[in-house]
Amino acid sequence: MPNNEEDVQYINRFLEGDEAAFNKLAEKYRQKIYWHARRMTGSHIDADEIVQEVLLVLYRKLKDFKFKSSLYTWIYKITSTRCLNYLSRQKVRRFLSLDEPEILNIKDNYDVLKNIEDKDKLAKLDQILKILPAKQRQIFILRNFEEMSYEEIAAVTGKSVGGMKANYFHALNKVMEKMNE
Amino acid sequence: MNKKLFLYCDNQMNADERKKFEEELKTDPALQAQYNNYLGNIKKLRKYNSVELNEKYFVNAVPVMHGRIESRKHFSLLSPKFGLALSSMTAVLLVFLMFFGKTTDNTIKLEKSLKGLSTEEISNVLDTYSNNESQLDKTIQVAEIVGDSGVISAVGDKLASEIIPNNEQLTAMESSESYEYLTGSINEKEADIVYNEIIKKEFFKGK
Repeated sequence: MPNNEEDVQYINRFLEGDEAAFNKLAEKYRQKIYWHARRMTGSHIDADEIVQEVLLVLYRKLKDFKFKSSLYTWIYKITSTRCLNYLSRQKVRRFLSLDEPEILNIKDNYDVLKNIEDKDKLAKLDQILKILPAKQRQIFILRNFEEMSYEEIAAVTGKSVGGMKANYFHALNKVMEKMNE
Repeated sequence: MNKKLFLYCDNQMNADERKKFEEELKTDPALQAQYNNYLGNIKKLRKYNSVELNEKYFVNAVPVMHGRIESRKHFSLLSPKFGLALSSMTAVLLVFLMFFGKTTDNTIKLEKSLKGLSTEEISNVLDTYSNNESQLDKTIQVAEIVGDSGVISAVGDKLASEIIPNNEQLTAMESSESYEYLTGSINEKEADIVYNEIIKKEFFKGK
């Protein structure tokens, strides 16, 4: 995906010291970051933390952005990596019983969803996505909800297009099986 | 799911293949049922995914980030907080060395070792001891010994980049940040607790 002209302008303005330009970029991408993280983690609290981490990385690393990929791909790369990293860390924490699932559920009552119906819908989606291993979940989300091409997904994950296709096939099969139960 | 059906639904067929498959679809009721099932499930997924958000949350995201940047500025290299964090991190690494390093010298003194390790060495030690998945158990053991959530989280985070084979990009992209994250994730109180806990351990007392 080529770089959006508007993004390039915002980046250049930010690098010249215009903080407002960064805010514009953050406003433009924060929902995408949030939703990717939310679908990956299944939790508002965790997605919120990832949004903050990703925005911080963007703020600090934008000066190193070489325009070799689109900003959009770069942001997804950072977000995806953070999510995978977070999920592994969570596995360790759960193994050590530092995070009790009940406590996590209580924490998640503070949500950004407007109504109970939406919470139910998202809970169903979380249940389905949770059956997938983290990396398959990542590919499934990028392909199915972000509607990325395999080339874009490969750019985000750093893996081959063929591998992405095979992984998506396996993920889709598992999702279909789960939904047919 | 039928592989051909997948290729069709995922737009991976060329025009000829699509035409041929559509003919097959018309004459094969089982395949048609599978296709309808796929469409129904995808529709459901889209429905589950269409939710309304409270916009107020997103309005606050950027100011919160700026607040964090400001608070992190206070965590300077010269602050006592940094010193404590560095000490605790070094202590954790020493636990790694004591248990899993080639050296089995249990008489090593904490104070002496603290002076001997540079930031770069600390980083190298972490890399060395987290370079494959089998190190997970060792990290958990260390984390249990230390008994601190901040350290567990930080060490686990570092290790996570090795557990997930696809995390090379994390290392490449954030190599300069990993050290900062490791220290930054421990607050002053946690660092103090960890430091005190570690120096109480038998192997630091010398035998």
